[in-house]
Amino acid sequence: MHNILVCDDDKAIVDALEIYLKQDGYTVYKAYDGREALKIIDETDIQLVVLDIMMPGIDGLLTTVRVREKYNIPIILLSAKSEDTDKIAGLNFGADDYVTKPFNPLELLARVKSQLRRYTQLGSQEQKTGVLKTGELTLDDELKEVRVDGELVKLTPIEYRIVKLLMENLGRVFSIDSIYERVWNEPSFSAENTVAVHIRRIREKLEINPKEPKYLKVVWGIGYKMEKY
Amino acid sequence: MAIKWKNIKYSFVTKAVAVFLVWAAFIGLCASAVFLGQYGHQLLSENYYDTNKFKSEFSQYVYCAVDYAVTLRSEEHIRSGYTSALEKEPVDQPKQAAGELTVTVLEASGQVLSDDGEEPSSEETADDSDVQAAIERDVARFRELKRTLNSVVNFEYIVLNRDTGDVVTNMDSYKEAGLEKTISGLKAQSLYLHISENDRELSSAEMQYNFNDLIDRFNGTPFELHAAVKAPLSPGDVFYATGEEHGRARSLIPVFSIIAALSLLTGIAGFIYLTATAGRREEGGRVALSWIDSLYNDVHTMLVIIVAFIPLYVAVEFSQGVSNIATWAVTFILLSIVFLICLSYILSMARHIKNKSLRRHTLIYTAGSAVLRLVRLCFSSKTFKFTVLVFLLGYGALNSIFFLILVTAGGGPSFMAFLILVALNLASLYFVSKALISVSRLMEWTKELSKGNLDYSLDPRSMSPAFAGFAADIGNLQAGLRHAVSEAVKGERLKAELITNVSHDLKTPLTSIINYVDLLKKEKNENETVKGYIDILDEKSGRLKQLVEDLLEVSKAASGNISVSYEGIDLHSLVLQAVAEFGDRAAAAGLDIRIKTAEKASVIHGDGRLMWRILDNLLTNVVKYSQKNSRVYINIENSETHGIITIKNISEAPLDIPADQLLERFVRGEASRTAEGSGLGLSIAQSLAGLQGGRLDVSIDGDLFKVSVSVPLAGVS
Repeated sequence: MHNILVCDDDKAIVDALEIYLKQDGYTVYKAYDGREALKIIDETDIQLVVLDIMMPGIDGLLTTVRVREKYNIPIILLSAKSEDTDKIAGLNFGADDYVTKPFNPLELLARVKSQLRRYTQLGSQEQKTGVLKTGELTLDDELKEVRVDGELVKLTPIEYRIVKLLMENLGRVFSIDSIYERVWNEPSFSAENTVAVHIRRIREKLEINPKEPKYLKVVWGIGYKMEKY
Repeated sequence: MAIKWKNIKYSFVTKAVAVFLVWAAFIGLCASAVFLGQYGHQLLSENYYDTNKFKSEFSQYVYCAVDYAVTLRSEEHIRSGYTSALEKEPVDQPKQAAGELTVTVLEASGQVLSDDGEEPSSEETADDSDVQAAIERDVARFRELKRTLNSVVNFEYIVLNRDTGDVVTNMDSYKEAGLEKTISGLKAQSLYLHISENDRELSSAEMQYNFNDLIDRFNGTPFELHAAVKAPLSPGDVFYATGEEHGRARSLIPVFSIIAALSLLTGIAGFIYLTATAGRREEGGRVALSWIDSLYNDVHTMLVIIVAFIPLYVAVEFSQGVSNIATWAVTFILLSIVFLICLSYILSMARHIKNKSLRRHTLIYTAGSAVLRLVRLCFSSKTFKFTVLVFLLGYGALNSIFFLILVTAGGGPSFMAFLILVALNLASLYFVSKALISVSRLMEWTKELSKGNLDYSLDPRSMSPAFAGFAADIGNLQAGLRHAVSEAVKGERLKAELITNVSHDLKTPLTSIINYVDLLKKEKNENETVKGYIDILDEKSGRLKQLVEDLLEVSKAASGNISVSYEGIDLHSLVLQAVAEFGDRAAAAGLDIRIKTAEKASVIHGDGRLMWRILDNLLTNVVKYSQKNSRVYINIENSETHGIITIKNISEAPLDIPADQLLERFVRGEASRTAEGSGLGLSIAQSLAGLQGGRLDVSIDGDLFKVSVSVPLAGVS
C-alpha cells in the first residue's frame, strides 16, 4: 500500500508506531537518526515520513530541510516540545503536521491518513466552481456537502449554515451574537450556549484533534473564525 | 488560705485602711505632741511649787511687792520723791527717776517703757507739767499694785522698814499675831523668800530668778522683805488656777502617753506595711507605677517641700492665735493635707526604689544624660563630625566679632569688617547650599532605589565632600541590591529551565508507555486480572501525562515565562465558549451550569488564550469535584476597575482545607489524592491571572466552593 518511514532515536517508539501502522496496512521503514532516514528516503519510494525532532546527529528539523530539497512527501514531526514557537518553527522548515509527545496513537494515525489522502488523491481532483475551500476542507454549496481530506462530513442544517458563513469569510472573526443573528436570522437576546455548543460539535466532526483545531478556531473572548490556508 | 491572705495583703481596700490608720496615728501623735509641748516642762516637776510657771508667778508678785512697798511706798512719798529729787540733785534726778522707773518696766506695759526713752527730753525742759504727768502715772500704778496685792489670796508678804518700824503687808493676821509670829509663819510655808540688805534667804534652791537685782536695790536701805506662798492653795487667784490646771494636766499624762505610744506603733506598722506593699499588686509582681510617679523625683521633692510647707506654716500661724474650734479644725485639716502629701511622696519614692528608678527618674539625671549623649555624639565623630560643630561655632564667633567691629569701630576698620562679613557669609552660603544640593540628590537617589530603580546612578563628583561617604554607602547598598536581584532572577530562570528540561525528558519514555499500554489493551486476552492491571496502567499513564504537562505549565506561569498578547476580551463570550467546551462533561456529571451576566458588557484587557486556560482549569475542577446533579453558578460582574468572573459550586467531598492552602501547588481538595489531577490547576490559574494584572481568590463556606477571577477592564489604566 503506502510506504511510511518512521524515524526516532527511541527504538520503543519506532516499534510501537510500526505495530500501529502495520495494523492499518502500511509498509513501515525504520530509522533511528537523520542520516539513516535520508538514506532510506533516497533508496526507497517513501510516501510519508514521521520524524522526531530531537535526535543525535542530524536532528529532525535539519532532516526536514534536506528532504524538502528533493521531495514533496508529507512530513509529520514528533516532538516533546509543545510550545507554539516550536510548532511554528517545524512547519516553517517544511513539515506538514506536528504532533507533540506523549501523543495518542490514534490521533497520529488519523493525521497520517489525512496527509496521505491529500498527497495521493487530491492532486487529481478537479476544481469545481461554487466550491469553498481552505486547506483540505471543502464546502460544495450545490451538493450541500462538506468534506475534509476528501471525506464527507455529516453536518446538521444549522451546523452547515455556520460552516458556510465562516468559510465565505475565511479568516474573519465572528462573534457569537453575529453568528446567531446571521444563521438563525433573528436578533440575539440571550444566545446562551447554542452557538458555542454547535461550534464545538462542528469542530469535533471536522478536526482530528478538536482541542487543537486546524480549521475552525476559537478566538477566546471574541468569537470564532475559519482559518485560511 | 494563703492565697486569700495574699490577695487581701495587696488589695486596694487594705491599703486604703492602712493609709487611714497611719493618718489617724499621725493626728494622735500631733495631739500628744501639742499637749506635751504645752505642759511638758511643768509635767517634769511633780509638785506644782517646783514648776517654772509657779516660780515666774511668784517672782512677779515679789517684784510687785517690792515696787509697792519699797519704791513707791505711798502717794505722798511719790510726790515728795519727785520734788526733792528736782531740788537736791537736778542732774542725777532724772537718772534716779529712770532707775526707779526701770523697776516698773518688769511689770508695766510698753507705754511705761516709752516714757523711759522720753525722759532725757525732760532733762532739759523739765517743766512742771512733765513732772506732774510722771507723778500721775506713778500714782496710778501705785493704786493698781495695791489692788493686785490685796486681791491675791495665796501670796503673802511683809516689807519691814527697820529704821521706822513701818510694816507693809497684805496679811490680815499681822495685826493680831504680831510681827515675829507672822514672819515665822511665812517661814514655815513651802516657798519662802527673805531679802534684806546683804542677805537673801530662799527656801527653794531652784528658783528661776535669783533676785540679785532686788538685793542691789535693798543695799543701803533699811528695808527687809518676807514673802511666801501658802502651802495648801486656796481658791481665788492665779496660783490656785494654774495649780488646778497643773493637776489636771498631770492626770492626763498617762492618757496622752498611751495615745502617743499607740499612735507611734500604729503609724510605724502601717507605714512599714505601706512602703512594703507600695507599687505591688501581687507577691513578687512587677512594680506598678502610678500617675504621680511620672513626676521626676527631684521635681517631686521640690514640689512636696513647697506644697507641704505652705499649709504647715499656715497651721503653725493658726495654732498660735486664739484657740477655738474653728482654728483647731483648720489646723487639723491643713495638717492632714500635709500628712497625705508627705505620705504619697514617701510611697512614690518607695515605688521608685523598688523599681530601681529613684536615681534615673530625675530631671537632673535625664537632662544630664541627654547632655552627655550630645557630647558623646560630638566626639564619637562617626556619625556627627565634631569639626562641623567647631565650624559652626567658629562661624558664629567670627560673625559676631566682625559685626561688633562694624558697629563700634567706624571708618576704615568698619568698612573692612563689612567686606569680610560679606565674603564670609557668601562663602558659607556657597558651601551650605552645595551640601543641601547633595542632600537633596541623595534623597532623590534613595527614593528611586526604594521604587526599585536599581540603575539610577549619581555622579560622585557632584557630591559635597561632607556627604561623599554617605553617597558611597548608598552606592554599595544599590550594588548589593542589584546583585541580589540578578541572582534571584538567574535562580528563577534556572529553576524554570530545569523543570522544562525534566518535563521534556519525561515525555519521551511516557510516549512509549502510553503507546504500549494501548497496544496491550488491543491484544486478545481472556485473563480478567491482566485486563484489570492494564486498565490501571492506562489510567495512571494518563495521569502522569497530565502531571507532566501541568508541571511545565506551572513553571512557565510562575516564572512569568509566558508572553501575554493583550486585546479586548468580552467575558460573557469567553464564558459561553468555555462552558460550551465542557458541555458534554458537565452533562455527564449532571451539572446544571447557570450563567448570570452583568447589565453592562464586561470587556477586559487581557489575553484570551490565558483566560481560556484559567477557565479551563477552573471548569475542570468544577466538573471533577462538584456534587453530582448540583447547580453551578457563574456570575460576571464589574467593579470600578475590574471585570470579575465568579464560579460557585458545591463540593462533593468535604473541604477541610483552608482556602489559601488550596492555592498552593500540589494541594487538592480531598486528602486521599485518588481522583485524577495534579493539584496544580488553581495555582496555574492564579499565576496566569496575576500575569494579566489580575487576581484569583478562593473562598470556602462549608461545601460551597467559590473562586473569583478579576482582571482589569479595558480602557481603565
